[in-house]
Amino acid sequence: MAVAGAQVVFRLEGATLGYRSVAALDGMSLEVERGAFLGIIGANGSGKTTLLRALGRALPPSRGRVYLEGRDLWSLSQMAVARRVGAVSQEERVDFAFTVEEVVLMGRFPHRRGWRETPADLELARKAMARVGLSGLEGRLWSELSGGERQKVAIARALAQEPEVLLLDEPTSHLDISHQLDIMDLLRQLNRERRLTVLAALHDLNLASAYCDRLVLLHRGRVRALGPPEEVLAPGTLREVYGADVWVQRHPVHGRPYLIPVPPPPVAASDAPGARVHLVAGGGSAAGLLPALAARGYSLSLGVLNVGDSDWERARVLGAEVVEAPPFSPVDPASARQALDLMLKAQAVVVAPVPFGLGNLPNLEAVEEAVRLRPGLAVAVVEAGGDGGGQARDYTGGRALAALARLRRAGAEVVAEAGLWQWLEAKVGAGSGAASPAASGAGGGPVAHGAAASGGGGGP
Amino acid sequence: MLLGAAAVGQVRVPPLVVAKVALGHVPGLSGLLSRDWGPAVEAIVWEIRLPRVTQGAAVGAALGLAGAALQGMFRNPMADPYVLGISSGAALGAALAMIVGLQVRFLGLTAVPLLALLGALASICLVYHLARSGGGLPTVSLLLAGVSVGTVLAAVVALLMVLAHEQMERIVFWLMGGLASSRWDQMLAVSPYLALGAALLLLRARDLNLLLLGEESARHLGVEVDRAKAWVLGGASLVTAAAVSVSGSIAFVGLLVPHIARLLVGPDHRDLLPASALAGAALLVLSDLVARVAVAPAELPVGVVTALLGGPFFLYLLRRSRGRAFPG
Repeated sequence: MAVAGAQVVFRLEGATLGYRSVAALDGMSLEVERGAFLGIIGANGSGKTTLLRALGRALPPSRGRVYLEGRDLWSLSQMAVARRVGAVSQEERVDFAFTVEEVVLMGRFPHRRGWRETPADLELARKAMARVGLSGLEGRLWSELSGGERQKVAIARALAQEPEVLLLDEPTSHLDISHQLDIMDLLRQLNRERRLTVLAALHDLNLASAYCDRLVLLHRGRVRALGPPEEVLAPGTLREVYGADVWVQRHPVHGRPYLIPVPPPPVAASDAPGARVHLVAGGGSAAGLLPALAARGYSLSLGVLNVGDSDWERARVLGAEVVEAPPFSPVDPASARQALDLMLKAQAVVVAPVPFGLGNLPNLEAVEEAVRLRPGLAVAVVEAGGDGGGQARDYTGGRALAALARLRRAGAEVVAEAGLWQWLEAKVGAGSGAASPAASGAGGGPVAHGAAASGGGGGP
Repeated sequence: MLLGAAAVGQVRVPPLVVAKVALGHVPGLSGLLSRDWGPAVEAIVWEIRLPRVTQGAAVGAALGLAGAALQGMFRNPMADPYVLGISSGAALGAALAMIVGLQVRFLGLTAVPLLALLGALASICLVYHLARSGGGLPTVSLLLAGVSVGTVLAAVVALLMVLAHEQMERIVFWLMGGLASSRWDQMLAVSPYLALGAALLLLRARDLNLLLLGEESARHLGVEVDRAKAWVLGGASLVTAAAVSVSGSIAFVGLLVPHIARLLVGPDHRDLLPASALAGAALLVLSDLVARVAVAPAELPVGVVTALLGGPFFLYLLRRSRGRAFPG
């Protein structure tokens, strides 16, 4: 256990820190291991900056202790701490006309007591500048640098301190996306190559998730969650801490959690005032269609969709009515029957450019059945990439293609996605509120209550 | 330069003679020189001119040094040695000494410079204690305390001038500042404060550089920020108090000279502080020279001359090196 103890760089024991009467950290306990890449996340005012200040010996705890490598941080001198801990604060500003090299050389301060820097100091500063990609800018004035370059100067200066730990307070704020990735890549390399312990307060949860090995989520001055991003970034926790709904996906490249903030829809898509539309989708084929239909105020139902399918998630987030089947299972007759009921309640059925296999073929057959039970039901088959509505997405040995052909003979129209809105308007009205006349004309069948439901339109 | 300045005046004395007079007062050297000048020249050079240029150089250096250090500490190009209310404290002390007609001699100083020095040191102690909060020394509190203490003390001086109007002219003249009352003993008496203050400031030159990154960053680089600020404050106060006590509050030197020096040697305080001291000395000696001879036999207030000489020179440097002075 002695070995494990030596691996702990920082330890907070019930540390309470604050400004005047407000405790920004409230009895926080936390251990940070050597070589960690720890992201500090949390809402504004949750204590991220205060935690960094506590670790950098900038703010003393009013209660509890902060240890650096097993020694009380406040028993060490500021200079001794600066030889181990480098920091980049949120608002870096250099007054008066210092050059990049002069600023980076200041990082040698805790190692030197002399009046002037030595050639060895200069060598270290040059190396730090080269490491962060500032070579060639040594003589430039700090004030002439861009935001990204300034951030690199601050990091180079911290590296010139030859620290074991790097503390960064929102190192990517105010930077454009390529510079954000640039800085985070650099931090990760430093973390991996030099076993530099990196602690960064990050605003952007997706950056934090993508780069940090572990995250600590702060909430009201306490640790709310600590662990790998997969554990910390849970929708329930995030809703509690941020008071906002997020949709947690896996990032297609690195597989880490990827969050999409979901503004609550003004009205659930199933209760929208517009005409009722049933959408046959799946596998992300409705990625664009579904939000666009919801935004136009159509009242939406979907199915059958497999649980976990991206269209399934999208439909749930938007509040559409969904008939669901277990993940990766074929559509069973009972679900297909439910989907058929929804289609019969709708004024129009839209078949998204979804590939059909034997598993979801029953969805298409349900559309056929709906048209048979209610002749004249408006059906649109959305074509993708000019495939004429099917050839390229048939994985059923021709059965889906045949079904689509039968549908067309029964009156279904093949439309491009861009043309869908015009088609819908002609058949069932222009979405929100403006539904009825066209809808009753096109519907004409026995199920008239759909039109009646939308007739009230205008408000939720 | 000192010798040259001492040579010029209503009575012209060749610089060589000035040098000889000066050397004549160096122990052990006087016997080696042939005394080819009269007692009048001796008196003019040794009793009047040399103390005056020496004090001019010392005061100018002190103001330049204090101005540069305080501009760095406050990260504010508008700061000057008087921003902390030191000059008002000194003025109050001096005015009291004049009104009461105090006749004392203590620590080598007569009443007016003595009370001015005490007033200056007392006011800075007051500012320091007002600004301290919870172990820290917030820069903003320091500035606000300095400005308000200065304003209150200046108001008290104004009140005193109204109440004791027979002394008003003398007080006004002191307030404008000048080197006319320069004397060797006085110079000698304040030199320990000047030397101590200058040493404190020069030792903190590296800390001042780091403070320009902001207190947070300075702390992360190992600077004990509050201690460094207290040292700089103490050093700047000592040199300013010493300067003000013997020559009143001469304007513009402490404000302009650091900028001129920054344009010449850059912002690194290890170069900037000595350069500001030198530039301050040069500017004040030169300005005093102009003040003495421009409208002879009358004298101009030297503060007017420093502004007239220093202002345009600063603007010239500023135009020549656009951007290097006030970046960002």
